Amino acid sequence: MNTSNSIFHTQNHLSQNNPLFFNSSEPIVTLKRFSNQAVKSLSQLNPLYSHSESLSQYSTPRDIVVLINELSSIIVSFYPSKDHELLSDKKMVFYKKPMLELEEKICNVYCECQIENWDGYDAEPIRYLSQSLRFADVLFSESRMLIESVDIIPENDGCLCFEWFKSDSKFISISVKNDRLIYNYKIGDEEGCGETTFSGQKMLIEQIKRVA
Amino acid sequence: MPVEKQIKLSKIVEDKEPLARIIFYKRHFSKENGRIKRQAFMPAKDKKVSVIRHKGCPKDCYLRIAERIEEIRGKNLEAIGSISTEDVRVINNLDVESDTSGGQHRRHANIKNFNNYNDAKIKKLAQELARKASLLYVV
Repeated sequence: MNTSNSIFHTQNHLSQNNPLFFNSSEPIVTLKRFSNQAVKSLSQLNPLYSHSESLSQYSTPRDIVVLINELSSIIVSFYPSKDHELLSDKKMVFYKKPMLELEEKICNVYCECQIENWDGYDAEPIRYLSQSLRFADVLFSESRMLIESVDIIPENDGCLCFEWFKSDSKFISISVKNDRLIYNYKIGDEEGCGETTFSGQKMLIEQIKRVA
Repeated sequence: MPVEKQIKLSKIVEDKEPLARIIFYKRHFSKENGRIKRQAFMPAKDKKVSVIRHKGCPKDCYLRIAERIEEIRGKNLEAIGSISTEDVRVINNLDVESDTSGGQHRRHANIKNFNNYNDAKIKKLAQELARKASLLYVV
């Protein structure tokens, strides 16, 4: 796909607020509007979109991220705004930068598991992608060390699981299910399982640091 | 073609019987360190974990069963894990029951009793199963 396509407009601008991009010298790519031409190009990239007529069908963050993943040669990452402006089909802003390895892995696993029965036992397609990327952002902003040793594993209930595993007696796993963080850990004699929300993630971060 | 040894299986699954879990997804185990991840033992929507009783069933026998399951489920075999029935039964009140309904293989069974637990507890139980299991075969 040609980056000079009229649907793309680039500007030299840096995000001052997003810690993920503070060192970036890459331009922001602003997608002014998804046109029929864009949709046609997308349909050539991914058969998932082959029957789509308009981008308005891509109405959820996960759809948008799949789309972005498919366009990764042009737009290698993005930053979702907190107020979900990204869902607008009028204007979408993407930050061009080297995709964090973790984000890329999350997107890859997500894409692998978009069909029913991906595990052979009637698993649900993976959901909660924007929430998982949000959690990845949290980890990254906390410490790069936390994302270097994490494994991303899809689960049959539609969650993505973040797992740090050293041994059977030293591990923590956190599954992102909508706005819930379902955790399970064992660190020596100490163990626990339960769930919290993003507002309660601080306790989990402390436990992750003990394992990572 | 290897022929499955037609040993008689009791209706009640005995404690000493080994159970094979067919794994169709590559990220649910680690070939490098021989570890099965808990996601391989998560119960399906019916809150059961489907397994094969492989007592008296050597490698060529369980591989043939796995091939048959591959065809039924439309997925490629990636690995096979094994856990003893006894190891299942010591985890909370999990149990194993033979299930040959609906044309299932005569060696088919289910790990059951996940029904009354919440998401976090189910994942913990699956973690326990995975911890006690070992990799029997990797493609």
